[in-house]
Amino acid sequence: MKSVKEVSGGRRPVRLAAALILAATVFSTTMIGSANAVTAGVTWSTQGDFENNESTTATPTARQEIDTASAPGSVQLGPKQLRNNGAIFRNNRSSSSTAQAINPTTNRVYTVGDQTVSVLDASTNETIGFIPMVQTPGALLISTRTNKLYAMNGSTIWVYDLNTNEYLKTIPLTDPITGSIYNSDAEKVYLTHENGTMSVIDGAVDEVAAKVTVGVSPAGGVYNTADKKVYVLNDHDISIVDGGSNEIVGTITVNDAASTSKLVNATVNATGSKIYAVCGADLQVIDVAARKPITKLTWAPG
Amino acid sequence: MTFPLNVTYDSLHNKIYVSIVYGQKITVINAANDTVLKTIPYDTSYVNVNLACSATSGRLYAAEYIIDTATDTIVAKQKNLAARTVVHDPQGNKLYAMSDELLVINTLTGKMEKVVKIKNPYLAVVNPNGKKLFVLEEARNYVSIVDTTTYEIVSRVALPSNYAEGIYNSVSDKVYFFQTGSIAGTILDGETGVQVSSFYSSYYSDGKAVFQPATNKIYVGGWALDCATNTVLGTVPVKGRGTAAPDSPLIYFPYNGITVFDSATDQVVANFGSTLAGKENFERVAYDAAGNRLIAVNDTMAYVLDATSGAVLNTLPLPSTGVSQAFFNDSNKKTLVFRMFLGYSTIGGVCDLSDYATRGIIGGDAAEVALRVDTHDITGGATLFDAYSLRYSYEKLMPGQHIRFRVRSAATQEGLAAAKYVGPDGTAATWYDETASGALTNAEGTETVIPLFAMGTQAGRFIEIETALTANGLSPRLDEVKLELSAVASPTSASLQQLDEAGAPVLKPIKDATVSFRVSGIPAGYFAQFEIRPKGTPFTGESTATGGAADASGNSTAAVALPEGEYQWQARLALNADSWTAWTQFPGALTIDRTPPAMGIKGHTIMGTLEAGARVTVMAAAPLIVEPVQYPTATTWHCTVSNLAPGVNQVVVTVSDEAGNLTYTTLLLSGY
Repeated sequence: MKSVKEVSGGRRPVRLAAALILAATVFSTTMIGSANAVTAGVTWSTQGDFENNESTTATPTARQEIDTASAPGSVQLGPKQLRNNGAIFRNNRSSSSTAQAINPTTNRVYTVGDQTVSVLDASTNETIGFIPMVQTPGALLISTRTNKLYAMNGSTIWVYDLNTNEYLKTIPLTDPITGSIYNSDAEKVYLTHENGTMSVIDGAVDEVAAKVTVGVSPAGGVYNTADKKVYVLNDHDISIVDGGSNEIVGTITVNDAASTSKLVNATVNATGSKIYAVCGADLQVIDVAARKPITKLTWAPG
Repeated sequence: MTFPLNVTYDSLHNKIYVSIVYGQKITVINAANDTVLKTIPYDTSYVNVNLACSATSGRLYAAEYIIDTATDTIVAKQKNLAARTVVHDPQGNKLYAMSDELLVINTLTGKMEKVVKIKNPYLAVVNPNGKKLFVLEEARNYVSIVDTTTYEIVSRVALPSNYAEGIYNSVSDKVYFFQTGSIAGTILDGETGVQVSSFYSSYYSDGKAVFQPATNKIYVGGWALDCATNTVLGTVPVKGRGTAAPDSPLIYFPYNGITVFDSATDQVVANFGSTLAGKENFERVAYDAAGNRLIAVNDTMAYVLDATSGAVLNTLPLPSTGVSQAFFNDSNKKTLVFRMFLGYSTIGGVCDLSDYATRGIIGGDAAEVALRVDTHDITGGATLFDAYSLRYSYEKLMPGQHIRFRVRSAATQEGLAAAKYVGPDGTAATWYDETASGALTNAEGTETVIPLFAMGTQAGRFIEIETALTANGLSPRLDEVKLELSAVASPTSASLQQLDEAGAPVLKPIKDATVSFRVSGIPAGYFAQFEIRPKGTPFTGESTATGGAADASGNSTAAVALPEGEYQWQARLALNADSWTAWTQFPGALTIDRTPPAMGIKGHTIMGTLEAGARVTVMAAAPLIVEPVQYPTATTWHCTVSNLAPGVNQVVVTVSDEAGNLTYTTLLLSGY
């Protein structure tokens, strides 16, 4: 700080300050650090033109409200025709990874649009941004541990960092994807294929780590954190895959192989004791411990 | 045919949600006993509705619906903030977005204010006063006319064909719509919306039209339309969505850099910015007529150019990719840049492009903010002060936001108005800024202090602070500004002296022609000012005498010729004619007395002898006073005559004896 000049016998200079609270609700004129403070003839004003100022002196001014609350915002408008798109999977199947995905940790909802994914703040229900996509994805899957988005279409996966909404990399696969499953314990992403196989992506490096043969026409499934198993929906049964070793450890038969009803979607309850799987017009309730359906709810054809 | 498709689990309430394809409903199942609890109907055009459930927010997201999982009721719909194109009102305060419906967004608040139910609008044209909006509907063969004061659709007009571009002609109050894939256009009355005319062209529109009212011409797709006759004039060597100058026939096209086109002659008159990086991607050019500046924006940068010379005055990075529109608002000196998203839609935001100019300062809604300080009032009469720092606090700045100051000072208000704001180097080219880079990222509430290098003790009576708030889509918020002053101390009474002509301190009345007034102990560069008034006359604060520059001993002295009388005086230090300390009064007395003292002879006593029995009579004219004659003895007498006037006073003395004989004489008495 510049030194303070003192003259005539070292008398301490009077230090004064004039202040304006620009954005607060109460106007004040403040003088600080002065033992000899006097009334400040300080005037704040807004000026239409600094080079042609109106008189603003002589009388202390009432507060000049500066409405910073009306500062411009940054509304984002995404591309036209935001829409849901969950129909990339064979036979109109989708999986637990849908065209809408949620990260409960950040409380954000991600929805597919035209070559974008919109970001909804679930606490306010307001769209807060858009993530440009390499292509319009057919399905989304979120790693809640790493806050990454896996957007997929055809046989390609695009990985995005949801902390920055930036594209990270592309994972090319040889077979079209029919469904996806997220293993939060081992940080793996499973991608099922029509040919009866399932690719295992190591979420740490986002590369294919293994390929597992499951059942007929698998289409996604569900990961059960209770037993750390992956339940893969085949046409008529469920392959049970160990979440750590990627080995098939069992099968749950749901209906007859001749049935026209096929497994298309599933979820698991909080305790991991029951899996609910949509199969044709039915919702099959499967006892995980017994590895068999225990009941079903049927929707009448409408 | 309906059937279940998607299923999700609500761990918060232990429920299963199943979406029913074609059924427009969601079945809610109690996962505790696997029984149906409820069916939630909803209206959606989507066949395959995906489900996502958040235990964090207690919400189920199904297509555009948001469902409360506690009550299983629809509580909201996601706003579809997507747009095909946008337009803004003449002030730039409203943004009209062509989304699923027409969205009205307040660019000052960033909030969506209204949704006008026009399905999938294609484009909109705003009339010059902003009160009417012509919205081309999805099929592009109908126009809805919207009253922007009520946002009601006041009429709906069928068009003869499909159109893809529209522009308002403010000269004829007509709306022109153009086709892009063919050669026709139609013209609507700007008041009624009724089709009044049409035109044909052998050229194609590029969907980017500009109207120049000075010449009543429209330029679109590289050809010109004379709106007076609605005939196509031919091709011109410019394309793109130009910006018409309001004060000349010129149009600035973002074409090959910036091409300046004279619509009066249909000739290119200048080309700017063709060497700038990214010039090929200039999307729009905004024009600041008062500032004679052009603001050209591309994907990442805004270039501010002199509109005459094309010299680049400034460059500013823009916060996101893509630009669709840039508009300079002369009333607040802001440039409104509508940002495109994926080159397709926009975001609204204000980017200040004028903060380097000598005027036009933004900050929230108030474009300019100034603090003016009359230091004379603050410092008890002193104007000599050291304005040594600005102390300010603000909310945490975001990247690209910037708070800066300049200051100016003068002895008078008039001088202040004429003075230039200066920064640390004493010129207007610099600003007081902690980093000078705009990268202030102090934590919220942090107080920042900027030394005022250019001020110091040269400051005059008035000082004014100019604040520039640079926005980056969102204005920074300045909480408090303090100007810190150190008033230079006034002289002590002990340092004040009054000296006679011999140089001796004046401690008693003197008759010298001049008196020297002195302040000692003055730093080099300073001098003393004195106010000398007759005793009993109030001080006015105006200097009546000025001392010389402080000598080697630190003395500043003024020799003043004073008439006779008693005086009081005060002194102060000054740096120049306009900068001084407070006054200090001399504690002693000063008397000038050049009048000789009077002798005081005011009377004479006349005495004599006389014979016994005689008596004396003394006579004199007024105002002389003759005291009674006294006879101390029988033969002596005396009499006092007083109140003599200066000079000769005549007295007649008469003596009479008992026999009646008289003797008299005339005496001349001197008074002094």
